[in-house]
Parts: sequence; C-alpha cells; structure tokens
Amino acid sequence: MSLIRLENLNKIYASQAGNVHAINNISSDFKAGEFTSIVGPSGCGKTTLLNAIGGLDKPNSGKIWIDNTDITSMGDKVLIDFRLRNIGFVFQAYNLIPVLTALENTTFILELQGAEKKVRNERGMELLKAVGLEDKANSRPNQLSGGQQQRVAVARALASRPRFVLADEPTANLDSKSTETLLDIMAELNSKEGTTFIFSTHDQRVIDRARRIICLEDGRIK
Amino acid sequence: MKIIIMAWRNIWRTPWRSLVVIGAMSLGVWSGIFMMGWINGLNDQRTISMLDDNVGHGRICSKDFLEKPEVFSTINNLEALSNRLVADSNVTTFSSRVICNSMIQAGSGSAPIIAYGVNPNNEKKVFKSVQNISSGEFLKGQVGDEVVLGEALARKLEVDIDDRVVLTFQDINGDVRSALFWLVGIYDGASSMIEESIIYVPSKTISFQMGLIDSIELSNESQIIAHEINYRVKNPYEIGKANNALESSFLKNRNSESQSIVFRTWKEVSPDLGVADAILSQSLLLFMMIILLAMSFGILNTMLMAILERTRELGMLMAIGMNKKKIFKLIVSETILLSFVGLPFGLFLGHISLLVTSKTGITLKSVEQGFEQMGLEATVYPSVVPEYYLPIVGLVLILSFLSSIYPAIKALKLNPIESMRVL
Repeated sequence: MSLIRLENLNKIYASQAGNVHAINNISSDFKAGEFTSIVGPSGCGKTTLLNAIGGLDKPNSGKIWIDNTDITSMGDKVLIDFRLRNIGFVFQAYNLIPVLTALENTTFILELQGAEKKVRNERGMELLKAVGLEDKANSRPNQLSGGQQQRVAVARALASRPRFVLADEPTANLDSKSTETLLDIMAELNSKEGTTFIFSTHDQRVIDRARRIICLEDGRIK
Repeated sequence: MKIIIMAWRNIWRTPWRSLVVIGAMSLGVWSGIFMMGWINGLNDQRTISMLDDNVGHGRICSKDFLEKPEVFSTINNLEALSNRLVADSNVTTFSSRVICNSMIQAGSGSAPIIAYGVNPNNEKKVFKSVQNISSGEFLKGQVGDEVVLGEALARKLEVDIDDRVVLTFQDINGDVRSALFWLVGIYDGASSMIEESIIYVPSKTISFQMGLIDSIELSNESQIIAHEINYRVKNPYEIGKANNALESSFLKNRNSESQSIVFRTWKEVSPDLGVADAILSQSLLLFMMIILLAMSFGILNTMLMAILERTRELGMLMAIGMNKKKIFKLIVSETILLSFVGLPFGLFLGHISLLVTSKTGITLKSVEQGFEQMGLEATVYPSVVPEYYLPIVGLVLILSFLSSIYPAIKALKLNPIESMRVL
C-alpha cells in the first residue's frame, strides 16, 4: 500500500510571461521506507512538488493522499498539525533556530507535539549520537559548521518519527565530506528506523545513493 | 516554557536594540513615577498648607448654621462637645469660632469681610496663618477691642498697627451695630484672597457685641458660645475615619432634644481641595499612560523590525508545524518581556529617587516668589507613591500586549514558502 499517492497533480504559477506549469499532471506513489530522489534541472518543479507533498503549497488541481488522507482538502490549521505529526523537513539552508542549542533544535518538534522533557531529551540525544554530534548538544547553530547544522536539521526532522522526511536539496550547501557523512546518516536512519526519505536534488552523489529516482522535466515525470 | 525561553533569547539577538528599548522603558517609568511623586508632593504641600492656614482638618457646626449661617445658629452645648473632642484620641487639638459677617471701615475705604471671633491660644494651635504675624502681634485674649487683619486688606484700607477700624454687623436681633477695634497685628495668609476676606477679633468681645452673650458671661473665663469648631487629627488624609468615629460617639450620646450637629471633613468643608485630590490621581495615571503609550510605539517599531529580520525563520517555524497560536504567543511574549525588563529598573529608580528627594526636598529658587504668593514653600518634598506602582505594572502589561498585536498579526500573515525564500 502507498504511503503517499499523487493523483493528477497540477500547479500553475501566473507570471508576466504567461502561466508556468510548475507541476503538470503528475501522478505517482511512494511506499513506506523508500529512499527516493526527485531529480531534474533547475526550474523543473522539484521543490514545488516537495512543497505540495509537504502541504506547504496547494496544488491547483489533483489530490495528494497520505495514508489515505487527502491533504489537499485540509484547512490551514489542520494542515499545520498534520505536518507537525507526520512530516519531517530538511531545508537547503538548514534553517535551524539560532537561539536554541543543537539538542533544543532537535527536540523542538517533540516539544511542539507536547512530549515530556525526559522523552524529548532521550530521543534528541539518541539522534544527535546517530548524526555524530553528541558532543555538540549544547552548541548553538552559529557554533556549528554547515555540515553539522544540516546533520542537526536531519536529527530534528526525524525526532518525532514522522511518516516521511522531505529534504529539499539537503546537500546543496555542503562540501563533499559533509555530503557523504550526511548521506550515510540518512541511509542508516532509513534502514534502521524505516523512515521514508524523499529528496529533491541535482547532486549526483545523492542521486547515486537513492534507491528510486524520479526524473522531472518541465513539471512532468520523464 | 520553551516559547518563553525562545522569546527571552530572541530579544537578546540584537542586544543594543533591545537595550535601547529597555532603557527607554526604564526612563519612561522612572520619569513618570518621579513626576507622579513630585506632583503628589506639591499637591500634598498645597493641601496641607490650605488646611493649616484656614480650612482645618475637620469642622463641626450646627445643621442650621450650615444651611443658613445666621447669628443665632450657634452650637448649643459647646462644653459637652469640647469634652468629647478632648477625649477623642484621633483629635490632636481644636478651636471654637464665632463667625460674624461684617463690613470693615477705615479711613480710606471699606470692605466686606468675615470676622472670626477666636480664642487666640486655641486658634494658634489649629491654624498656622495666625502664627504668621508679619507686623504687630496676634490677639492676646478672648476679650478686648483688638483686631488682626491680613496684609492685603491692611494695604487696601491703608491701615497700620494702632490704627482703628470699625466693624458693622447684625446682632442677634437683626439690628445693625457698629464696634470700634484697634489694629494690633497683620498676618501673612495663605493667599491674598484669604488676607482680604478674613479678620480676627476676640471671641467673647464679638459675641457680646452680637448679643450672643451678656456682660456676666463676658467676664467668664471659658468660651461658652461658638458657631463652629475646627479640629486637627493625627493624619489629615485619614480624616474620614476620625470624623466617622467622632460622629458615631456623638450620636450615641445624643437624645431626641439634642441639636443636630454636622461633622464635616476638610474635603467637605473645602470641596475644591478634595476634588483636586481625586482629579490629580486620575490625571497622574493618564499622564503615565501617555508616557507609556509613547514607549509602546517604540516597542511596536522594534518588534516590527524583528519580524522583518526573522521572516525566513518564522516561515520555517510555520513549515515545520508551529501553529499560529504559538507564533502569536512567541511574538507577544517577546514584546512583554522587552517591556518587563525595563519596568523593574524604572520602578526601582523612581522609588529610590522619590525616597531620597522626599527627605531632602527640591528647592525651586526661580519660582520661589510665585510659590510663596500661592502660600507654598519653594522647597517641594515629593511623595513616595507606592499606590501607583501596581496600576503602572498593569498599564505596562496592557500596552505591551496591545503593541505586540500588530507585529504578531504581521507574523501570522506570513506565507511559509514565500518567507523561506527571503534572504
């Protein structure tokens, strides 16, 4: 059974040059435990597709089913809660909260979910250990390198054991060594915790590690 | 809990900007509190000066006299009432007066005045104006043809010590009578209005002239007739309590034939003073509100800048699942914390400066003369005003909350995707 099912998804942006079909009638399925890369050149609709799957952007038409729930028909309030409980996000620019430590960033979503402090901290330390940053638990983002920040971002995305993690070009700002480390960590967490990962990327190193590749071109699956 | 910690840390992301706002809030609260203490002190000084000079703390008269001040509307049982005042622990001293509405005539003119027939020893204990004798001396006793005028009236009538003046008034039978008095003293009153309208004469002499007592009673030592009694209590601001106690004690011992006696506080005797007190309290809070309102615009501006700078971060928070309620709470918490850091400093500074100046006083040399004309001393002793601190805390809380609403709404309107594209 599919974890995520996309049905005839369309997203059109109006621009001065005319309408841009960022997603053009895409239908696809993602199964639980997948490690999938959505690849394609810049402007092919990768990020738009991830945003739509993550409920951050509403498609103009079509449906997105997550565990048989249609998120396109959800109201904003419900959707925010749905995101909080089901989806992990890793952004290209890390987007950690600068005033929180690595551990606090990692456990932030658990806190929003109302988890107890002990549970939060245990899970946070477990994940920081998994991403090799146990000793940086009390460091603020500005005390961490780019690679370390992205590892914290991955730990944060996984903290609440989401149904799947959406990672938008997670290695775009990282050097080769950090990229390899991050990919190893994500692959390990994917196999260990069974977390579904969907990346958008045009980084060949990420593409090489993916078990499923979806190629996009002009908003369509090639 | 984390929201509050985040809010606290967020306000220190731009320490200088936050410190400027906190400093402005401290200064605003400090200056507001100091101004409140200053104005309160000035008002207290004015009130006390008026009470000391002419009004007294409390006044007793017959109901008839209050309704229509006729010559014959005297207090019937002055001795019993005097004994009750002596026995009351709140009352520190008192003085009886015979009141005579007269026309004063001297060589160069005449003027309508109120002649207070007083026992000089008692009157001096209750009122300071009779102690401020600028020329000559005050009355010596309850009997004699002496008169004491205010400086302004003496100037107006062009009279000086040892000059004679004639008082014309109605006696108890309604007949017009005149009596000759010799000017023995000139007093320096609280205001020229008081100096022009009030004169002092011996109580028994004027009572005799008005036909209120006979020649036998004139020679008695004790005062047996009066239109009103003025008294002082330990704390004039608690006159209400003292007055009620006195009135209850009087009512307990009166019988059906007893005369109706009215006990009035200084606020009732001189409503303008009481109203000024009430208006002042409201005005000072309004004044504080204006200061804090100006402060809150500064806070609002700071918070708007913070929202603008953190657009991307706020977009990310919404994207990962922080709901609008929590975003709102975060912005409101930051705003309130920003205000509340400055508040205790302002309160502390205000309190300390009032504590010090309430003891040392502040002398206003440049307006010394003007103050004296108003019957005030040039050294003002601000009052410590703890009763205003809680309303100020409440005002800061309300205004901080109000000034956080617009920035919070701006934050809530952010679109996560568009916000995260902001560099």
